[in-house]
Amino acid sequence: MILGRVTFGLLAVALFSGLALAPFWSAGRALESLETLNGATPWGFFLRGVHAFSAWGFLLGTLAHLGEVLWKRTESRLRPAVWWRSVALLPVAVLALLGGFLMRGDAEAQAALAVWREVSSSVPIAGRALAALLLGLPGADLAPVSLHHAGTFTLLAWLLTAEHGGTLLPDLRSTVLAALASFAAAGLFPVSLGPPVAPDGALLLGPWYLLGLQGALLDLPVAAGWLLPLALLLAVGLVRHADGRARAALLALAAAWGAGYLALTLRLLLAAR
Amino acid sequence: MSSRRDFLGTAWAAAGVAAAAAGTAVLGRALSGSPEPERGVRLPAELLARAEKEGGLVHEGLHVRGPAASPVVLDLTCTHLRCRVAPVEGGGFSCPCHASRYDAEGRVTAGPASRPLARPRLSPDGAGFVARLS
Amino acid sequence: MFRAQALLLALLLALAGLLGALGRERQRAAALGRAPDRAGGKVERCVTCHVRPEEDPGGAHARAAVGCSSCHLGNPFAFDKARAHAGMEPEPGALRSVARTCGRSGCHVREAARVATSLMARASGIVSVNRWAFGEVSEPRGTATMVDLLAKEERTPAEDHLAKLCAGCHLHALRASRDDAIHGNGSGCSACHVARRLPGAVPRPHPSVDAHVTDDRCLGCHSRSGRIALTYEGLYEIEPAQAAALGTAATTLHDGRPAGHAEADVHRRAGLSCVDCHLHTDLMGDGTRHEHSESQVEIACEACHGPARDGGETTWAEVRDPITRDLLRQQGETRPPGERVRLGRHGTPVWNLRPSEGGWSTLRKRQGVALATRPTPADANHRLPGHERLTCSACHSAWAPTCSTCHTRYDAEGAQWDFAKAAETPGRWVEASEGYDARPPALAVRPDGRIAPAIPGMVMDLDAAAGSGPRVSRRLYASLDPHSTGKKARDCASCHLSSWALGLGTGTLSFESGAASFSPASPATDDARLAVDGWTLLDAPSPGIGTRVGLRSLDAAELRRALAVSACLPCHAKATDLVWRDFAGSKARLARGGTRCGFRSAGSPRPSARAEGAGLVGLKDIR
Repeated sequence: MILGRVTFGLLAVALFSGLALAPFWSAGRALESLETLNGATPWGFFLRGVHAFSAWGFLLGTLAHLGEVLWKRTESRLRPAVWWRSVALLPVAVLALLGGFLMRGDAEAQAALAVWREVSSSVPIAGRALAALLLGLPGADLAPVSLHHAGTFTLLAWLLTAEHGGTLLPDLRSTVLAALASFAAAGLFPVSLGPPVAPDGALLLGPWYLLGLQGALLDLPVAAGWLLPLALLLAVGLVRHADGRARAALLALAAAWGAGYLALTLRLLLAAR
Repeated sequence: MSSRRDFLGTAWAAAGVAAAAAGTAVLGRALSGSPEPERGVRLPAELLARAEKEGGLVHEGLHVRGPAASPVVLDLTCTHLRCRVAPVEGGGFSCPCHASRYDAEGRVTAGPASRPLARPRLSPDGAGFVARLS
Repeated sequence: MFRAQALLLALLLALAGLLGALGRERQRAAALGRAPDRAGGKVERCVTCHVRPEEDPGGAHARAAVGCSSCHLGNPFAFDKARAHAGMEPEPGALRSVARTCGRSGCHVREAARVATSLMARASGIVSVNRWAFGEVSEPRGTATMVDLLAKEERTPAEDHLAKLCAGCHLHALRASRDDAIHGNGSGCSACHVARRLPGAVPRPHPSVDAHVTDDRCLGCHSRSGRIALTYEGLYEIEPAQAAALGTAATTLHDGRPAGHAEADVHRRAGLSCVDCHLHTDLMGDGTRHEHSESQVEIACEACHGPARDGGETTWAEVRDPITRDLLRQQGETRPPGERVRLGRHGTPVWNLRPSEGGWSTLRKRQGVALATRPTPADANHRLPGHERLTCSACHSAWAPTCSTCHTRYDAEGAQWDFAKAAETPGRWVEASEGYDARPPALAVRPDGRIAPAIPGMVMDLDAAAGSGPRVSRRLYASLDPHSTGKKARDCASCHLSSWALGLGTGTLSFESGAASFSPASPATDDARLAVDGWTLLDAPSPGIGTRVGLRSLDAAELRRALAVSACLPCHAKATDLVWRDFAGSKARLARGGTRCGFRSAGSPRPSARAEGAGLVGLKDIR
């Protein structure tokens, strides 16, 4: 399972590059501090690129590794509890990445913050508390978001990955490979920031991995923001407990979900043009 | 032996659920009592006169227009997912997040929003008003 | 586990990445430290690159004070050009983005919002009158604006005519889509508040952005149609053939049109510029969507020269207008609360008019020079019976530009600049006239019943047949204030003995057998009794109509009354002449034979046979 190991390596790279970025970011002047990092800090743009690409790589690697596991039917090697916690790695990774997106503080991030506050609030009973916990109280700066980004979700991602892989730390070779890949991407493809204020009449886009959800929310009620991901997680999670037809049905459901998600992404991109 | 272990396990689990519920309740109380809910925006008479003459202006996330004596005030927060909507040329408002559109009265004309833009409660304040959003 | 090839590939890729990053890092570092990155106390990285002195507008909008992004938008935090310039407004002040530029919070919010409602932006008067003249609407009024019109895909002939000939002078037209009318100033706020930039001037520095609206900024647009800006300067547009005839007496305007010289407005000769009289509401609007300019313009002669209208004077303690207050602050001026102030027609204070010893004085805003302002004298000229309905400008307008006949033709084969499309599009409107003239204006009766100057506004043949449009003939006069004010009023004969002034057109007025008659110099093709440049007939059953609902020529009764004094004028040419103090009494006296009059012909008033031999009586005896 080389893919799984490299993914863990990418998480390590993301963690260390994130640590390196911490001194440059300010919760009250998020966008300005990032522009300064990008423009006025020696190799700042590169650090940020390494962080972004390693984190995106971690999410993509997790997804790809999941596909690999399902394809090779190796999910039964994990105890059910570990399997479910491994599936939970997916939303944890997305939440960690979303935190990073919100921390940009540009117009796109501000809009995403408002939207996710509503999506969280739409969870029955605990919704408002959840929103406040994860995103801070309305009107606060980005400090709570950054705490969860660098703390809660990173810690959870590390724990879940470690448990899943049966090793506390990634192996050296995977980490080096992950680092080299991140350097390559960061050097070749500079990572941009959004506009400071929304341009008139145009749609603002969320992070690329959530565009499908943004597209879904053009028509579906706000609860779709957590119900749709939950449906996917349940379908994937239950695979461990199903055999034969039931397993195939669950996999077909997950595949259909993925296809629909891509279609929604495409639709949003077309609407934004 | 095993039944006793089962019982203890269940008891621990039940106690855990109870503790989590209590913790959540306390947190919920703490969060709901936090000083956010109401926001008051002053609308001094001079601003209202300006808004009347100029056919409407944006002030502190509010859109103000109409006669200074009884202004029409709309909250520019999209009723869909609370992004900030922007006035568009020719009257009306549009949301950059999910393309909801509102007419000049704040009524939804397109997109996923279903409720009109909120109208803050206005209470007299000297020669102007205070707009309260809850 | 990993083969050496994988490591090698990763190393190579990483090396490529690092090389790319190194290049980018070099670029980034090289761009830094050239100049400060703050302006006006905030991060403004635009000034890091834009360091040349000619990129600084100076004044209140100096680069060091407001940076660049306050007006030009973009991203002031960004370090690279692409991101910094994303979302930039190359034409700040343009009404499309004015709420985020000049009208942004903390700057000119009120003014920017008002301008969009002003007639300079909406041009609803021009739109409605033109549509009416083309026969597309039933009345010369309406709230449709030039903005609405330019947004239309399908246009009527009148709308096409406007889009091709008129739309360049409305504030929504972007710099790129305009002709020479504004000389590259930009649209919206910039049309007036940016120093004019002459085409071809190299290098083209950042123009200054200021509140000193010099007359040349008005001239670009207001040298057309009523041409008040030219008239004010003492210039009148002529046809090239006329210029050739004038020779060295002719001059050339900034945009190449030839012009002749006439007497400049007395205010111009006193050094007053447009904005010394016109209030901020006249120009930027007062937030009300007026249909025609005369309802937006507040300033009137009486505001300065008196007597003030009822409610036209107050004290500064009562003045609320925040824009005027701001203007005063900007100018570093204060006004004691108890000081008297005169108001425009809608109540806007004329802040540069101040009480002085024995009257009022007007401040030339730019130069700070105070000029004594003469009050309207309460003499015989201003109390002449029968003239109560005359506006000041009816008598004090020395001349007006006159283009008596105009032929507008649609050439479907040609192409012409289209302000809606910002490109040349098929179809061309061609205007031709028999030449322009500068002469005392005719008189019209305004909708409010007052008598004011008028010029042939649209005495024209319109042939839009080739463009599927109408073929119409119009005989419309337009009322205007020509801006050719003279200290000396026009004399009695220039109205009472002038067929032109009375609206009959060019020709000969004669008085025979007790009645006036008129023979046109050049009869109209449709009616031989009517002059080609005339507006009405002596005995027209209804008066000629004008470019406003209710604007008309003098009617038959008014013409009779005006001509009734014609016979007396050769001898009684002065308003102080006692014969005018009670004209009816004078006539009765004459009829009774109590006075002597040399008038022999059978004109009107008809002298009696007895009057013929009567001895001359002291005029003071006629009471």
